[in-house]
Amino acid sequence: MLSVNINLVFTIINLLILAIAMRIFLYKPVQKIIAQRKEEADSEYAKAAEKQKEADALKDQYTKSLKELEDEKKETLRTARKNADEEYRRIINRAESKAIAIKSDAQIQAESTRQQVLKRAEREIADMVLEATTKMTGDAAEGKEINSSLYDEFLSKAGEQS
Amino acid sequence: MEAVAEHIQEELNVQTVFTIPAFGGIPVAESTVVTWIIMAVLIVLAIILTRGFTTRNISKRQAAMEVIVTKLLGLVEGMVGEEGMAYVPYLTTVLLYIGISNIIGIFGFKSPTKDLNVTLALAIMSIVLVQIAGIRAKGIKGWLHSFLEPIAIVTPFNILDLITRPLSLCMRLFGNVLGAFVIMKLIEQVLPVVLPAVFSLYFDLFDGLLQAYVFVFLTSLYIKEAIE
Repeated sequence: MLSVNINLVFTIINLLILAIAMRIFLYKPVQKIIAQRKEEADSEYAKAAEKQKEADALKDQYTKSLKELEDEKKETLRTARKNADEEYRRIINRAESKAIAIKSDAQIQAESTRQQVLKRAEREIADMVLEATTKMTGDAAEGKEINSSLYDEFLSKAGEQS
Repeated sequence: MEAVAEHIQEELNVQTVFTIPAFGGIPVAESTVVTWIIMAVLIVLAIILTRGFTTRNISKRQAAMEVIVTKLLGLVEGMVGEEGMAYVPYLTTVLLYIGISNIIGIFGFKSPTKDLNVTLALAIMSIVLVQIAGIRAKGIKGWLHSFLEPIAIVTPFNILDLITRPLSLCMRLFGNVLGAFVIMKLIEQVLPVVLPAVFSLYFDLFDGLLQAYVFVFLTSLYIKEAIE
């Protein structure tokens, strides 16, 4: 019953073969696939982290350019407002000076008109006086000259008085 | 009672299945043939079950295989430690082989571990592996020097260890399987229904797997000791 024989050697050989076979067909494939999956997962994580970094950088860039745009807008608005103010002032000034000019023109014109009216009135009065005196003194030829000198005298006196 | 003893005797006998007609006839025992069957089943199952593995959308089969293999290797790795990683595949194979050998009686085969040749072979393999591990870790000089530790006077006992350790490994496994078998046969004689099933759970399944674990655990312990 307890005999040691050649089967001991067979068992050793069998064990060695089984150990190698298990290594090739069982442990290796399983370990390989697990390692492969781990590698894949690691690379995925790395990729994701890179994407995140890229996205952050882009966000920063956009935020910066947005701010720049905002500044530019403000600057433009300010310049425009300044220009508009200047233009406004300029227009107002021009209008004022124009108004003054128009006003003085009108005064000058009114004055000259008044002078003309006065002159015409003087002449008419002179004519009227002459006619009146002619009527009073009669139609004598000699009388005409006397009357004319009388009239001049009257006129100059009236001019001095007025 | 005589008949029972005869029956047990007959069951314990390792029969020669066939003889290779060379060198005056090489007998091939039952245990060797059953070992071949176990090997064939293990290898074929391994090939079939690890086919078509992918990294994504894994099948249930793949998930189960990954868990089983990882747990088994992890179990042995926990026993032998980080430095003994190189011996994990062999030890795991031994664990599988002894475990299956011990419980294959349930399927009507004669357990190979009931043959002294098999347990002795396993024990010799273990002690050779322990010495190889020692030599690889310390070099020939360091390995030889380890026999003088902790003090020179224990050297004979250290050398004796080379025989007693494999002998204890071999006999523990053989005795457990043999004892379990004898007890089961006796229980079957007392009451052939129900009772054997209950005891079979303990003697065939639990004790069989436990002995496989113990064998690998002790071998791991020796390796760990040798490479420290």
